[in-house]
Parts: sequence; C-alpha cells; structure tokens
Amino acid sequence: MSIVKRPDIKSSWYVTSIVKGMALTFRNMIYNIFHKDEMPTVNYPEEKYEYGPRFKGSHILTVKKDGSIRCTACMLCATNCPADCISITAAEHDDPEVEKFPISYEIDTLRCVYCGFCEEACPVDAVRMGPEWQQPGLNGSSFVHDIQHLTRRPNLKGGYLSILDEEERHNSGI
Amino acid sequence: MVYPWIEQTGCCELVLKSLSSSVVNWEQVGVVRKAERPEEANLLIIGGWINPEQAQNLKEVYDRMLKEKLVIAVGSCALSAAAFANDENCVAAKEILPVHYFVPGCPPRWDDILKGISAISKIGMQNKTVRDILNDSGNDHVF
Repeated sequence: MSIVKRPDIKSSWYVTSIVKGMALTFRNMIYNIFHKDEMPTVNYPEEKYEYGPRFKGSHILTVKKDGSIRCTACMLCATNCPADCISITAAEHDDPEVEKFPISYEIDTLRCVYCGFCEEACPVDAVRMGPEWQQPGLNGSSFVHDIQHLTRRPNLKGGYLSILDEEERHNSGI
Repeated sequence: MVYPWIEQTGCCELVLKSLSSSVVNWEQVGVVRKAERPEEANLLIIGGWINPEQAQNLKEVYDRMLKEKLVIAVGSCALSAAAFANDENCVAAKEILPVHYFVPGCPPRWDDILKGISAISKIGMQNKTVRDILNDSGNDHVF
C-alpha cells in the first residue's frame, strides 16, 4: 500500500511562479530597451533587412578596364541554365583578334531560379550574382533585362570590374 | 485593404507559412485579416508549382472570390514554370489566371512578398470600407 503525498502549500501556491515568470519577462524587456541593435525582429516597411555581401541575387555582367563587356558569347551559361532564361545573340567584332562579342544578352528574371550555374559555368568571370535582390513588380513592368541594365544599372556605380584582364588570361593560359 | 486567400505548394510554402506566423504584422501592409473561405477573399496568393489538377482547383477558387479579384504569383514555378517549362505536369499561373503582381525568386524573400501585398492593397478597394466588402460578399455574419 502506497501513500500519495499531497503537494505542500509552497508548491501549490502559484504566486511565486508568477512572480518568477514576470521577473524574466521584465528583465528581457528592460534589456531590449537598452540594447536595441541586438533585437532580431524587423519592423518591415520602416526598416529594411540588410543581406550580406556574399548574397547571390540579381545578375551582373562584368566589364574590362576599358569599359567594354567581358563576355565573349561562348554560350556556356545559356547551355547550362536549367530554366532556359538566358538568350544571347553573338556578333562579329571589328578587331580580327577577337572572335565574337554579345550584341544582345537578355535574362528573363521571371524564369530564373537563381541557382548560380551560369556563374559557375563562365570561364572568363563575365557573369556574377550580385548582392542586391531582384525587384518584384506589377504586371507589365520589365522583367527581361538587357545589357544596359546588367552592366550599368545605377546600383553598380558605373560597372563591375572583372578579375581577369585579357593579357593576364593569355599569360596564365586559360 | 485586402483579404488574402493563400494557395501554397512546394518550397514557397515554407516561406509563406513563416510569413503567416505571428512574427510579421500583416496589418501594416494593408491586410485586414486572412480569409477563412474563398468567398470572403479578394486577393489570391499563389506560391509554388501548379499541377493540371490544381489548376482546375485554382480556377474554382478564383470564381468563388469577391468581385475585385487580385492575384499575386510567388516564386519562379508559379510565374513561368521555370525549370519545368518542358514538363506537362507544371503550369504557369499566367496561363490560367490574370496575374497582377509578380514576385520573382526561388523562393523569394519574405520582404518581397510583403512589398507585393502592400502594393496590391493600394490598387484594390480604394474607396471601400469593411462594411462595403461584407455587403458585396453577401455574408453579414462574418464578423
């Protein structure tokens, strides 16, 4: 025969636990008032969440030092794209040493899945995924971006310089 | 002022579900409250891939909605069936319904979806009160 012990008055008296819980909430509240930078929540329309510099967002076409486009229209990114969102038209260059250059380079952002395969496939560091995110828009606004938007949109501040220059690339044998 | 009805599949479901938690304040972007039935809704949020079967369901939901019918498509699958464009089992949202706002991304960020809802809430129901919307729906016992 087992005897069931009733709980003491101390443990069945709920005021102590209520006071403990309220002490925790007030401690957190006062801490958050004095440490506003450490708070994880964001009041969305007033504050904007800032993504890091390595964030893979909308595409960038890099430029050479003289300002022309780095892309050589080799079509590797368009072949590797799983969603077929890149369309390139190549044209003949005036310089006989240069084989071809893209006369139009369009990315349909409605189809893009932001996988980064174009960036991986590119042998000359011409396409990159930039840190800013693709903007949503109303029906009818332009979602197909051309060369002008990809190289010289105002966020890029006059073009994103490619790592590899033409001479360095020939010297290293890429 | 919008009353959203959310249709969600795939990985956009995770983003939309995290949006519908209590962390985000929907009233700040113009949502009065979320609709419990399609008859009370005037905004349809489509996230994720769409089957042919699900396309029929979406059309039924669209017919049952209130008069000013607004549609937001979220994610690349719903926008243009991105990587599954050659597959017959995935349909783009703009082929079945008139879409008003596009949110690209795979999956998109939560702030982009909120931006879309706030932009579309300024289009719809500009001069209407809550009572007008309820009279349009024919349900006075909603609140």
